[in-house]
Amino acid sequence: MLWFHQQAPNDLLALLMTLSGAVQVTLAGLETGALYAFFLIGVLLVYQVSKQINFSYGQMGMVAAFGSWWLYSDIGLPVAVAVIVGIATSIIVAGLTEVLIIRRIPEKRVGYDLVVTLGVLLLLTAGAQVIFGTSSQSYLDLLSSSRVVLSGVFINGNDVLVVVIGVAAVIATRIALDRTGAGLSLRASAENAAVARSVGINVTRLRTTIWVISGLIAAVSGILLGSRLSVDPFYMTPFLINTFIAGMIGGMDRFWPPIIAAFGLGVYDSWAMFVFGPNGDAPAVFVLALVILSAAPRRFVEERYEARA
Amino acid sequence: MTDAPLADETEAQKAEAAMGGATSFRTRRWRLLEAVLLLGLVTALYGGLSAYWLVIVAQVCLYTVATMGLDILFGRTGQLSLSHASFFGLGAYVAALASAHGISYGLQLAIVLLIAVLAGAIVAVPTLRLSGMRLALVTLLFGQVLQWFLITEVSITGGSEGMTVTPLSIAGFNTGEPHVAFVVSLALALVATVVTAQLSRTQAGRRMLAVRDSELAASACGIDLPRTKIQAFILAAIYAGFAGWLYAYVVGFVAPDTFSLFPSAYFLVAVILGGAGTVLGSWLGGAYIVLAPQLFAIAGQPNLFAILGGALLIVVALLMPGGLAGGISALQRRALSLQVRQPAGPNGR
Repeated sequence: MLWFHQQAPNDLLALLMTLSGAVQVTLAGLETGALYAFFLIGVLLVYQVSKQINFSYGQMGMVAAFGSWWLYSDIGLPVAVAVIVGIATSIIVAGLTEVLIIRRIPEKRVGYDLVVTLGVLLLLTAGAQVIFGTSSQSYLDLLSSSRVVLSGVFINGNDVLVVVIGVAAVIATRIALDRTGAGLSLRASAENAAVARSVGINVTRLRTTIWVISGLIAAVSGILLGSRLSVDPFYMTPFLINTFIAGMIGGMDRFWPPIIAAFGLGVYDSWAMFVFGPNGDAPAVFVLALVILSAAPRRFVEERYEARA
Repeated sequence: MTDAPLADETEAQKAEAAMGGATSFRTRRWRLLEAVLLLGLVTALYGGLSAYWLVIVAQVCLYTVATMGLDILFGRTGQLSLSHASFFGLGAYVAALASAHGISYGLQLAIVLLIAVLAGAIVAVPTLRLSGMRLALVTLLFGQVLQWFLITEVSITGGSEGMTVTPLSIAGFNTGEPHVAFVVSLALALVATVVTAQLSRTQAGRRMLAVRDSELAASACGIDLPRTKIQAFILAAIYAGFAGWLYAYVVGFVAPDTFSLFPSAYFLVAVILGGAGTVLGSWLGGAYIVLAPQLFAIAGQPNLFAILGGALLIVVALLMPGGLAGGISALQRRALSLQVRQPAGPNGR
């Protein structure tokens, strides 16, 4: 995914000596951040409309990407058809999860959304292992091989694609929330579901729609990430965790702060991997999360002060 | 995590109170019957099982101990943790590394205790201000960091290939011998069972239940929330640490995969499926984690274990909040109440 994965930590000083090197690492982080931000939109929408967290969100993206790989490589479907079927599967899984499982959690069982979606995560992962296999597979190129060099900085088409999709989706979501009837309904439901119902908003249908949209976002994210890495039953898990961390740092009931946190986390992640090696981001993110959660004002971290829709 | 079933003692008291003091004799008779059945079961297992299945049952005992740890944290205190397999793994790797360096068993146990207390505190202290998703995420990150360490520090841990562990050997008894492994594991499980069952009768245990049911109400009653949560985290880590330590000696091998996110999720499945807040539930959950994969492997479908785990987590969480232990307890109460309602015979019996 990131070219500097191959760099040894002792190259740090050498890299810092060249401005283009530092720009390269930061740009790579912003690209990752754009992908986090795009993926995070689905988490934020679901949380804001129903105050629920979907632990299986990443695996819905995995089903789209790994499933489409299986369809075109093992079954022999045309790539475009396979990708469309993969995306449709993710959307259906998200919708069914809301209708068959989430909707049935009794109101007083606060926190059971985490438990049952953890169950869906296990189901999807094990299902993928049985049907698609357990090995890592190369996925679609999606412009990864088309590269240009600008002032010593490498940029490939996939990076541009990810940034364009990420930024466009963030802006489109904000506009939709602010300036459309559906967005207004969503914000009203998030504010007070009972009042929203009393003015004729079908909150139940709205929640299902949001879950379906989150399934679509997960699918596109899974495909984009798969094109930068490879696909297997577990490749979305670290990505999901980091996305949740960005949401947690920025605040799940807000919009711009978590999006900015997603970009910030992408850059932090990128530098951590450069400095500590390819797997160095896990401890670095753990330390960051602990420091921020310890220092954050109490109102940011205590869920019981948050109104539930 | 509200609406979990009541803990052991409260459950029993509720049953007795509902049916009157006259049933206490019958309740005692039930318990005597249970004890006799348990003794018979242990004897039958010891004498009747093959070497392979004795080791499997030993693992059931050890997973039960670890499940009890998570039950204290999640079932009795309401704190969701996704790093329980990491605590289990810490104990296992202490055994692997310490035995490789010839450290005495007494010192090893002290190290396990120290590391469990430290690990429990490391996860607990920053999460005192958190709950729900935030808490789950921090515990998840802790597990990721441990995985990172186990996989990257190849020279210390053997990396993803894992390490072999020389069996525990004291006074001529060796855990490489299945009967010894069974007895030692059972002994640890029985000690853990007694301690956990007594926990509900202690001040600390009652504080945990109060925190689980309502942090606000518990706080209003003067309960120190941070202290109670830290105690629960540390106890959970100690249970898992000791279980993991013995697990390494019984199985003879440790690898990072055994202690990753998915095994942590299986511990959660075990607690919820067995029945949160009960020692019987922990036994049922521990048996599920170890025996279900074996049964699926025998049936030629090893991957179905994870699918079943996911499905059970959803179904039991939604439809059977008391888990299997809750169902058994309900049946037991029904049987007792039927006995009470039986009309007296001609001789007044």
